[in-house]
Amino acid sequence: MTETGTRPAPPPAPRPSTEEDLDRWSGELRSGEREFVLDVKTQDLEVNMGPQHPSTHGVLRVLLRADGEIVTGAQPHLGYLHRCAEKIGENVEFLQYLPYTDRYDYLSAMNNNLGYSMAVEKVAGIEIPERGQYVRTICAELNRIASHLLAFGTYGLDIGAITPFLYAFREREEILHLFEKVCGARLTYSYIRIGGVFNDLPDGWLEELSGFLDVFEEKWQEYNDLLSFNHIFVQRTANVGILPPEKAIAWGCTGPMLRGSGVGWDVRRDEPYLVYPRLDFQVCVGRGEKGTLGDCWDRYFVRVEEMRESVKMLRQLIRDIPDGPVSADVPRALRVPAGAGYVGIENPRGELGHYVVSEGGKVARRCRVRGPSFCNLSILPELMGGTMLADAVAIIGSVDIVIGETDR
Amino acid sequence: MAKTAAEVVERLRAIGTPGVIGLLDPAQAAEPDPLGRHAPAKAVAPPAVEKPTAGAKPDAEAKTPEAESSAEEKPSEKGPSAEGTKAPAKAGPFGDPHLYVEPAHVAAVLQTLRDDAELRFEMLIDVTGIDYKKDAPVLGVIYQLLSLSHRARVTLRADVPKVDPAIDTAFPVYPAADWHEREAAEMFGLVFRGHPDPRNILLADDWVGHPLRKDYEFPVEYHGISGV
Repeated sequence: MTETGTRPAPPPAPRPSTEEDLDRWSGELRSGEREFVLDVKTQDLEVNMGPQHPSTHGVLRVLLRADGEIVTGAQPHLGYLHRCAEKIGENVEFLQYLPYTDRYDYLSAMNNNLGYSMAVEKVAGIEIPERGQYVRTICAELNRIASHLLAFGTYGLDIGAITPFLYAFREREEILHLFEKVCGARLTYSYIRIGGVFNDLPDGWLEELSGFLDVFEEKWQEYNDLLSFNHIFVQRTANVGILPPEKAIAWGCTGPMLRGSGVGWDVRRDEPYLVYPRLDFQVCVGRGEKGTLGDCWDRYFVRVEEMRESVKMLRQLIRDIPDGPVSADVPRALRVPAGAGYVGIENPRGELGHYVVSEGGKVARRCRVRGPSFCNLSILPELMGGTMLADAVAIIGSVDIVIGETDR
Repeated sequence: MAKTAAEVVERLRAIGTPGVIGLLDPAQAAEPDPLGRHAPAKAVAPPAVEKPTAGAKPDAEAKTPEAESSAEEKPSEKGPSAEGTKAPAKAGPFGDPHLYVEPAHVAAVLQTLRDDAELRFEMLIDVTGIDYKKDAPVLGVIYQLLSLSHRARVTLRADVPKVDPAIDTAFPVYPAADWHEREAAEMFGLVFRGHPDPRNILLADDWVGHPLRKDYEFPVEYHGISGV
């Protein structure tokens, strides 16, 4: 929009006559633009973001409605990656379903394995040996660091900072190497199984992990220097996409999304499972340090702080892990007595819930997956309304979605 | 404050909430129409399908406090012993007892669960459907609720007849129900009355059938894409 060029004659009727009318007309625009705004007709613009867009972390499509630079509406369209996980769960045996759990949140496959295994174990009444529980907790926390590292790196990338991404992947690579030694896979592990874990940890693995933690703690400070307290990054994320705590609760947000709004709820502490009750750790919550409580920076920083808490937990786990079997004796063709149960665990992205109904045979009657990304994303239209178009990317990134999980 | 499902039922009855039928133990919760409320009208239907299995003792080692409350309930109808296998389970049923409610009163029960000072289930974690069997007369609608202030969870179940699978939306009470109900609607053919945006969410807009129904037939072709 330039002031040169022909301007159409202003419409006679609604033209403001008094200073008061003028204020009403020009809304929030600065006074210098007033005169020009009065005689230009505006029209909402629909911008299609995705499904192929680098900042949507997969194949999410968001239909944005923009009034100039201001977003007036956002409509997410899902389903591009729907692979019928729940239907498959009703058609294969309990153990056969496990590899499918790797694939919904492929960045934290250990936690997915764990959530599903715990749900089946609950309905089947299986107890896990002590060492198995420790190994499970170690894998879940290590996977949390890997997942948050990716969230940290790609969030910088979304905002326009490329270097932190490379730093994050440097450490993530080490974690993937460690996982590869445990189960042979870098991403889709299927390591935590019904009854325990697939195999005991290799010799010397815990020492190696301990060495990695020493290195990682030093690097953690680098992330903050690079990104967290970087002035430009703070400017882009503080006071953007504010999610008040009562709204976060009403919309069923969980994980860093909920804690970023200052609600101290963490399934690991509040409804403990595995060996979490024996561990000493803090639940990180947003404090509105750089802007308003519940803004993008708060959500981002909860993840960064959680990485350090996970390191703390891992050190305690390495110290305390007992000897013994890692898995209960579970038959390959497991028959689960008739029953129904729900288990929610703290995934890196929030509460991953599995609702398993068994009819007393080898195959589940219903296998419901409650993906945290799906629920956290449902508040997106609320968060986007009234923000600037350039902030849309910052807001989507701060939700930290994995499309494999929203669509399942 | 009410923490277990049994305490929640007690509290709901004490304050006179309509539509609370009772508590289902985990084994009952896995069955369609466990109380015989929707059975086809033949002879005088028994009020509850009760077939106590001999030898199944109440579970001494319940895993969770929720499971403990179900220890007094009747034992599993189809336990591991009935199947004659070496299942690792000791004595079932394991899992969560379900709060069984009338579909017509679901919205009111949810409202009470959220607002009553003793209950305070602030958060709706999940809404989903379930088709128990091909020939079952009902579809189940399952709600998972979480109380942040009391650190408690409860599972709610309402059965709707397959011939008219309609139920009131939970959206005005819990906005979180928005997408969950859209998903349950497309997957099971449930109708959530009063939902603000009842479009498909994961499936294509013109998808035929409800994939999570047990009688669903996989399409052989979709817009020229072969399905086999």
